Amino acid sequence: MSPTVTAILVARAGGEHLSQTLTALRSQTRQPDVLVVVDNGSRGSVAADLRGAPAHKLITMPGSVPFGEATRAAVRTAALERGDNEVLWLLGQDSAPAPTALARLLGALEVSPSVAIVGPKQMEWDRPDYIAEYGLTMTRRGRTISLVSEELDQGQHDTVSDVLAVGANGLLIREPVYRLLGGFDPGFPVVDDALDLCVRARLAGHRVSVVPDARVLTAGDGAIGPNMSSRLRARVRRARFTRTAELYRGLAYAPAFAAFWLWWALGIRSVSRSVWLLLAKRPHEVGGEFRAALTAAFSLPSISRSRSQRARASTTGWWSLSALRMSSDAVRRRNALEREQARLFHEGARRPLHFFTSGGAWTTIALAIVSFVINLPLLGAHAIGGGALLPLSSTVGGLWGQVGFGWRSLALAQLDPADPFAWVLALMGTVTGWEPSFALVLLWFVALPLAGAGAWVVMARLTDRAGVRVFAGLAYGLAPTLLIALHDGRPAAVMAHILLPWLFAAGLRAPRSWSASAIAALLFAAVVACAPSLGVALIVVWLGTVVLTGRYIGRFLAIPIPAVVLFAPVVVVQLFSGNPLGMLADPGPVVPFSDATRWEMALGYPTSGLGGWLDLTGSIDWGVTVAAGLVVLVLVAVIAALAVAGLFSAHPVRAQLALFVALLGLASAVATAGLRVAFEGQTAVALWPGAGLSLASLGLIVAASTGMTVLRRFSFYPAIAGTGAVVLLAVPLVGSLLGGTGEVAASTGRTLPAYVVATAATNPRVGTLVITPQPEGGIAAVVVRGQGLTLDQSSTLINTSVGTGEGQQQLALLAGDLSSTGGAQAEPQLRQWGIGYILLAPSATGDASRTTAEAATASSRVRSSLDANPTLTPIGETDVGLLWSYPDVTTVDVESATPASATQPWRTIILAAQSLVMILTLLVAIPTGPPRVEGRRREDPVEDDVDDETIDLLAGDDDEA
Amino acid sequence: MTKPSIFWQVTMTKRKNFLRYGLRSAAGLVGAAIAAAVVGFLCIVPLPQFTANARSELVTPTPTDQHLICPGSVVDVLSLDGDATSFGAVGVPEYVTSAQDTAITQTALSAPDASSGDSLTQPQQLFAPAPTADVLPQIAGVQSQQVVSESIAGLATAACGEASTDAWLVGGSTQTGRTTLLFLANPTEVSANVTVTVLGEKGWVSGPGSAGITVEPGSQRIVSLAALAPNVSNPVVRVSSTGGQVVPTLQQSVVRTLLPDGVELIAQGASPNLRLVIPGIRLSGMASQHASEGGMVTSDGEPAVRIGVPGENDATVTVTAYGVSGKPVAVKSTIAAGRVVELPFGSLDDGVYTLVVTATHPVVAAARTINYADVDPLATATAPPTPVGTSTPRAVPQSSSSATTSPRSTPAAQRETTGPSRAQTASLVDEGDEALDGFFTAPGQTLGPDASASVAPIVGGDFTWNVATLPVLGETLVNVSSGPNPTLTLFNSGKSDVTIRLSQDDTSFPDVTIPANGVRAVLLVPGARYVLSSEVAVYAAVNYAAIGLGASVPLTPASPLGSGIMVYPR
Repeated sequence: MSPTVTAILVARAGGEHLSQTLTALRSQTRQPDVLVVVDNGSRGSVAADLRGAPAHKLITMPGSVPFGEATRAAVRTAALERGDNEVLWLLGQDSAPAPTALARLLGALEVSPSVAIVGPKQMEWDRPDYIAEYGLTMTRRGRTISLVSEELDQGQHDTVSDVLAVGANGLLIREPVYRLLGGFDPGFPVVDDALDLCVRARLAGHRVSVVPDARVLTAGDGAIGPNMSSRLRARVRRARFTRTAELYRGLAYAPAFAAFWLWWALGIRSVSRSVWLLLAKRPHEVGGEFRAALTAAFSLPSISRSRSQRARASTTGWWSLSALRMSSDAVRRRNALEREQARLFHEGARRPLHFFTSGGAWTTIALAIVSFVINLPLLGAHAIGGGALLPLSSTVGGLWGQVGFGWRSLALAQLDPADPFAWVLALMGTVTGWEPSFALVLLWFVALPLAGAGAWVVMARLTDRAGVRVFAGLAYGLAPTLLIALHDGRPAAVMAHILLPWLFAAGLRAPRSWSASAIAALLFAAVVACAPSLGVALIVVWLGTVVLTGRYIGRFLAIPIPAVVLFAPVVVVQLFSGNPLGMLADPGPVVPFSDATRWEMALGYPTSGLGGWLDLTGSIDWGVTVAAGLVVLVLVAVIAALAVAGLFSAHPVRAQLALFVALLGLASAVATAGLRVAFEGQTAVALWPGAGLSLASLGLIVAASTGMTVLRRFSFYPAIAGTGAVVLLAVPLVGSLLGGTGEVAASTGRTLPAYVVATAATNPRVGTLVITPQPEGGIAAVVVRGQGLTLDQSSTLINTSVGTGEGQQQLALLAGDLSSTGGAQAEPQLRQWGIGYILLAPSATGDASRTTAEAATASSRVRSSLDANPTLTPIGETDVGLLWSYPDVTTVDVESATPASATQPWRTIILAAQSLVMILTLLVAIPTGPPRVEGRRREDPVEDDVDDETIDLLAGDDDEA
Repeated sequence: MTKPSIFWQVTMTKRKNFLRYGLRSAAGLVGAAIAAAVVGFLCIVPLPQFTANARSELVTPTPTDQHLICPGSVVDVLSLDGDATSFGAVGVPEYVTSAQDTAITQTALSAPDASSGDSLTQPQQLFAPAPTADVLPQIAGVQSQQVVSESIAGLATAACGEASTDAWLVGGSTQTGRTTLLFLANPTEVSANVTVTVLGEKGWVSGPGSAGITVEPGSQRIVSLAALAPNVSNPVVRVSSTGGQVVPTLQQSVVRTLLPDGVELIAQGASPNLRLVIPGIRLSGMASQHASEGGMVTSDGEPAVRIGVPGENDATVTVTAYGVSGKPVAVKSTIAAGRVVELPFGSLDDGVYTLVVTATHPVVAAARTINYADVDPLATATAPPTPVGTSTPRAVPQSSSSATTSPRSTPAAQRETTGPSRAQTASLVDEGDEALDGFFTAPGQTLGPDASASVAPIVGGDFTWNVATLPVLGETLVNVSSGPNPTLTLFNSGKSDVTIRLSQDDTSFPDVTIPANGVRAVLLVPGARYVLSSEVAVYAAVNYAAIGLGASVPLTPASPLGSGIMVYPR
């Protein structure tokens, strides 16, 4: 006797899918006896399309409800006879069944009474010969696995019959079993509803099987199960539903005591899984992960209902299912296959760089040799000093203590947000954790090769020609702005120059991988941290990229986030103190330099003197000066001409963009050189224009490299010419570095006299008042604590501050008193601030021969006064100046002067927010192989690359050899 | 590969290629033009600039006790037996002191090295206690002495100075016939440990006993420079002390062919600097110098600028002489590191000058002028009856100089008449006749015990060391000793005119305007006390000159330790 079939069709939307499904239903060889159509669209939007449906019953749900609930409503209204021989057939609007589908399913059900649920072979709507889903199972750990997906149906799975579960689409279930199980569990609104139903059916002693020759199409519209669209929004939702269902099942299926622990562990599990998701480059699923955990955590009543429902119906134990669950071996095999497939999919995007066979290694080695030779005097140094170089904190802990928010020993023990540069220094110092200051020595040695390799990699992404790549590497590695930064001892500028090409290299890859995008974000933050003045130009570049990118905009949008988070505290403080330009100040100590004229900057030199070309002659003869200038002009013109040639090459857009970047860099340099916001004593020092020139050099070099390709096969010759020009340009600078005339020299790693450092070992907060005579006769006064100022402790907030607070007034009074007869009144203040030493530093200009008359007068005044002060003991001449001690110094808890409670919350918030963003970005940045292929891949992987050609203008690939 | 097929392809794609290359070229040209325009724009067009102002606090220190030390009487070497050199005071100097808003206590320091009977021959300490009110009191003093003895003769004048830890003295000589003594007075309450280093024409001289000279509190030591650096003709002395501070003074006396030929007390000058100013140089008898042209200073009987380079770099030095009229005259020279040389005055005419020494590396400098026994310095410098600067006095000095030139062996009686005469002073004063009126009416001040009237005859000439000085600002006390023809020379190193005012007690004299880089001379009354007020820093010195007599006392800023200081806290 043939059973009564009640077909339940749940429709969320009308349209073609629904009409095709209805047509398919009509043409069934075995017509369902009853057809209940559920209008599950919001506000009856489906009603119009259902008007002509051959439905026996039409139910309109009040808005969209889960499939399980819609089914329940249909079953309720269908007024079934409650006979044993009744079956339910579940369909969605997009489940067009093949004409024989119902007949075959019924047949399967009839031949084996133990089978309670049968499912059809679900085929893809667009490609009806591809299997979309054919049976489900679970891994040992409870993950749902579709046994087959996206496979061409060649009958290869037709031997399968018994499965753990089937999907809801086209599912045929005996009505008594449905009733016994209580229908779908409302705890599974979207995903795993059918899986759960089948599992419970199996636990109740029934079997579940698939029917190979019953085919039902599925479009994944979301009427049944999640929406299978490949759009990001849909993917995010799907991931969340899947995870919610997974957690819910864990809690619902596990033994009671295990469920309890699972529930407690929800939080920690979602955190650890988020980390894993980031590593797996699925950052978009992180939000869903936490929502899923929250949902699961707050569905305890629902879970207990599910548990009792299952317990009531169960006749057998979980052991009976174990054979149908997927073994861990099989899971591993399956994952390996998936990875393999993903790799194949992404292989098209990957271009091997041929570092060793295409000049990269040689460029790096050549630059390394140059770097080694010019840094020979620094060989064996534990720390270097001079220029803006200071030692780093002596311990890694101290370095990280300055990150985010730190005590500024410079000021009167002030608690301030840290410069983002502190992050860079902390990371660098950690590399040489046994002696953090050594990191700077290392930086000086690796600067040239690292910068050159970076530019080489950028060019390697754009061209195959070894000669051109080598030119780019050498030109950038020997760029005047880098050599001058090394010469003048500017670690931040050196770092920025090194990191810039790597930032662009990562940026070029960003459209293809989350990892590269996150690396670019980190490098962006690092570059801007090293050279905040470059931030404006980089933001412009970023905006341009976002506008030009189009499809992969998401991966570019996030790039500035870490930089923004790192800079936010400094920006806020500067804005509130009315000194907005101060946020552009270079990190580290303020060191004056000889300002370059505009045209010198246009030639690539951040300081005057054309990088030694004018001094090279050693003559003050006017004619020779002009000749030296002309030589530089001609050499730079060679590069510039090549860059202009790029505009006429096969890649004009690339050359245009590169030139645009170069001009942007130059504009940035010129603009920053006009901003004098940081102070060294009384002198307002201009921002370092070198960072802008680094950007300009990179742009110019890329443009020139493009120009070289005009000659195609013969691009070797312009490459030789360009390389010759840049090498010649660098000769005086390299020579002066070789000759040891640079500012940088091996140092003892201390900035205060050894006497003070020794005291600081026992009294780490002992203060030293450093008085520096100023060129116009005044004196600069700062209080340095402990062993002296370190690079990580210096702060742009202090270097740029213009307002005079109470502390500063007191400091001025103290210094003024000490510099005048009758400095004895200073004693209470010395005591209060725990100042044990007074150091009279050489005049501000550093070079003794440049000391002005007024500075010398001020110096002798201070000296006389301090000598005459009976409360001070002269210690004498030290390597950094004249020293006096205040023997009655007390150990003062200066930190108690500033109530920690006022800043503590901010400290925590800033540190937590910055750490979080940095860690998250870092997790995404760690390359973990190709990402999983998501969603239904409708496009061919080859098309991706075709798109890239038009989108990624800068990354136009080949040379059309 | 066959030719026809290639040709066929070329013709087919020719048109398309032409279009493509045309477009590309046009875009390239436009791009290149834009790039060039942007670079040009960035190079030429002024962009907005921003310079923040460093926060600063002007700290005015609380006034405290003030001590000034006058070096005391000129001394003569009594015996020269090894270490046990002993000295004896010659004559008694007069002291002219003044105080503003306070009172001076004058006490004598002990001078164990020099034997004398009178306490006034010992170094004098001028003391003013810390005021209770919030005013900055000033004290100042000058001592003067005209000596005639067998071995020492001439005019020695010195200002009373403050103790310091590091002082540079330019002057003296330890050649045969020259005696140079170093006075070290310690007014502080702790003993001073003094190191004396000498830079000479052959470099640094390290003699025995130059370090660790102990000067007890409240006493003065006398050290013979010849013991530290024998046979140095151009010494530059650096005195640095630890512990207590000292006031160093050099006494140089010259004996030429058995006749005393001048004596001078040399105070400390400005520290090594890139720019030094030596105001108030009175050149006389330059005509004879011009005759012995050679560009070299061959003896210390010629006027010269002594310049020392204490650093480790050769210095290129430019000496510019600014006269009361006429264009400045500059001389350029390169001096090796660690050397002292004397540069001649070259073709300068007689007159009052201010020297500005600029150098590429820090130098110290002082100028030596000679007061010949046969030349009346006032005749040349002050002869033009018209106000300085309004006429061309160039030609006049020559004639008047020759008119007043006397033979070297001028009788003493004639010399006596060269004292301050009203008729002469009238023509000395700067800025026209009306500026002089105040001076005429100003009452003469108290003279010291050794008034010029009692001066004994002088046989030889005299020389004057003019030291580099720092500018004075605000109110400065000017004390004039009873030396002959006191002249205040003012130099404005600024870029705009400066107006200064002299006042005496309650009387104000008319303002004197000094043009940029200009020199003005004002004749003062011997023994008078003035207050010089200037809103802008000016360099000044008081010069004394007569036939065969000369001295110069620079005005130094009032106690730099008590003045306000600009502090840039961070």
